[in-house]
Amino acid sequence: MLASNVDRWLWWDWIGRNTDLIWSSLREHVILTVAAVGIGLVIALPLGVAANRWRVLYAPIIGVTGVLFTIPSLAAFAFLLPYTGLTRTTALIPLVSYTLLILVRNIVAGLDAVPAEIKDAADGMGFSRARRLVRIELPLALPTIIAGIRIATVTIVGLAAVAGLLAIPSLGNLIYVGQNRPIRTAVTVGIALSIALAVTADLLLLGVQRLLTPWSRVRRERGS
Amino acid sequence: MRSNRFRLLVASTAVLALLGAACGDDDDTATTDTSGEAEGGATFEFVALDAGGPITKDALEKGDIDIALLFSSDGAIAANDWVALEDDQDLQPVDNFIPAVNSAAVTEEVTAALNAVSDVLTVEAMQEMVAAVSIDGENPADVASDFLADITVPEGATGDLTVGSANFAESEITAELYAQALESSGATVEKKLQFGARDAYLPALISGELDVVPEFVGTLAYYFDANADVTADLEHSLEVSRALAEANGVTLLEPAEADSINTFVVTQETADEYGLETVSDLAEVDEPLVLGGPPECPERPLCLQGLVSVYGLKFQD
Amino acid sequence: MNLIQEVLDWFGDADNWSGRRGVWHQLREHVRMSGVATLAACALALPPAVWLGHKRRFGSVAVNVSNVGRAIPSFAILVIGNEQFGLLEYPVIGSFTTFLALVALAVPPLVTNAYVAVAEVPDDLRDAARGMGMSEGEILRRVELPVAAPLLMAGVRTAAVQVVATATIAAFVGADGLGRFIIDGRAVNDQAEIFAGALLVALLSLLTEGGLALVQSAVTPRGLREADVPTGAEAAALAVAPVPTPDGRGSP
Repeated sequence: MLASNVDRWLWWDWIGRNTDLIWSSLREHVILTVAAVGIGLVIALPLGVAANRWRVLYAPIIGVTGVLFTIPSLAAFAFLLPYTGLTRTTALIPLVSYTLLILVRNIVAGLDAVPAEIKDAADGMGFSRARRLVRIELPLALPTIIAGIRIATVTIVGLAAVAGLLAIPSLGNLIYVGQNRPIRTAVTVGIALSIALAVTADLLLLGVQRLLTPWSRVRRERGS
Repeated sequence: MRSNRFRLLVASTAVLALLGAACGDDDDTATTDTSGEAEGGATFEFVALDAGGPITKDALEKGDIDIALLFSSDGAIAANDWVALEDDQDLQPVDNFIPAVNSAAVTEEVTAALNAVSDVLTVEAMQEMVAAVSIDGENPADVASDFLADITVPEGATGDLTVGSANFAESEITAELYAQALESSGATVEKKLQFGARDAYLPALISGELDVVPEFVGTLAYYFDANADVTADLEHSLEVSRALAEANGVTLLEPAEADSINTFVVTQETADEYGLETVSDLAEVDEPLVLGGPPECPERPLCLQGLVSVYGLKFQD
Repeated sequence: MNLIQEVLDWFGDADNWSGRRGVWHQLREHVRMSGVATLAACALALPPAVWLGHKRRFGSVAVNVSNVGRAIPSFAILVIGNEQFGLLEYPVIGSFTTFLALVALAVPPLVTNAYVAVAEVPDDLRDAARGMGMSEGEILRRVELPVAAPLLMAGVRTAAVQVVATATIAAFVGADGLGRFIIDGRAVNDQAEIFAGALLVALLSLLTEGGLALVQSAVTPRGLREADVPTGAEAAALAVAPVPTPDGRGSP
């Protein structure tokens, strides 16, 4: 086989010369991830709150989201193709459904963990249920919820690459295109960026969590 | 505890039984001749890989397959000293590069600018550019601008145009050529390269989300009509494709010389061993070779079916 | 609802069930690939993870490997494997590329869940066992493992479902399996075939998840039966570093 550069795992020159391809793939991937987790959160919050308030809903909600989670992404894409075509929407819908199980479970776990005494105290102070939820319960549940967002984000970063199989712009597409050139470095870059993106998002969200819940830090410092 | 162990035992037995069934031999693998009467020549095997993509090329390189279906514009053929078998029976229809433009965006100046590209896009030029991107790792934009530096593009195009491409080098390069030609002609161009597969970018072209994409005279017709009458005659195929395209709001301009047709490729070693130069030579081979191609190959007249009916080859089922 | 009729017709066509490209063959292949890879991954990952959990060493590695593993596109592993090994096949495990990719993807959830499951066995149980004079090995076998079993099994479920899903994509690099219907169907734009393939894949995944749920409940000690034991999919949500909650209790 000729040109050994093509086989190099890290051909820096190629990376330098083709930053537009790398950048657009990364950008599209970030958009997909943020959109999927964002939309998932919007759907999961009411579901989680409902499952916490009316316990009987928990099993069916977890059941349905669990089933959705179990359907492999390629199959999910295949189900959608006749209806949504080969667009970003086709990739987005399964990705959103994958976040649901993780987010709902963590939202419920977070809300469940709010001590009963605190809820009683709020009731005693005349808080309405809605106000109690928004001002007391959700903030206290925040660490667990953000933990869920972190897991969901990392999971979606990995899963979104399957969109590359359908030639939808993403890091997965970068991997496929690169392999087709055939430039092995593109595959390396695709994987490396995927991991880097996941780690970065994870750390960012961890930072957000620390910012939003200073009291948990205080409790830890007190050696609980 | 005992009932738990019992359950565990039952469960594991079930799992193992399932696996055992899975590992069981397949009795229903038939090996029937799909051709019938052709004498001489062994029965070949077909393996479904991808459409002239990396999987197929890797397989050819490793020797997992003997014959690969690739595209004539693929830089890997020259780079690896592979042998492209000549299509001596004219099985393959033409598939010249051609600008496909959303009919609403067609103006005289746009047409002139794009046709200026088609005029100079020869087979060698395309192969060189593809090799530069595939093997030398150049950016398609740079390769295209180098090429255009030696050409004068007629000026006068105006407006905002969006140029898209598919995911493979040939398409990206050609799209860059179109985009830069339009820009130097005076239009404002937005590039949406790597748009996706044909079933992604063609609807976008029809809807107007994209204005210009590089297409192929032959395979484009099949998208609109799976039984389109596209042949090795360029004039005739152009007519057919143009009619189908116009009916969907797409205008095809002038075809380039460069094309990207189905090509059956073997390694130099294989060619030497069996004395292969044309596709017809394959009919003389007395050992069961393996052909690697896209999954749809067995159902395509241009692929396995054509090899059987036109070249008299035999394949296992 | 033309598509539904087409899909039903596709299933009704006997040709689609028999032969090298038929449903039975692809189903067998899929189960075989998945089963062999999952078992191999278990054999590879569980013993060290369980032991480390018992020792409570290298916890952050064990837990974070899952996080990183989750972010790696399964498709990429297949591509790299295909570059190295192509269509190389061995008896029993089949395509080496696919085998390697599937094992690589199954290991992280197995490791994380096994580690956390064993490490989180309450201290008082371990102390009591030590007090009763049990050896380290006995503690592991008779106390920690039974208590850890549900969460560990949840990890196996997660891994298995992940493997079944990735085995679907393996068709992209030339492997057999149910994914073939989706990939081949797309190639010829046969909507019915694509949909049928997707249905089969979804069914197999659900069966795997459900079947292993039964196994999981089989290994759950009677005493823990009532506990809120996570489903395999939920275990995916759990396999992460313990996060402090307001009352100080970590999760999972």
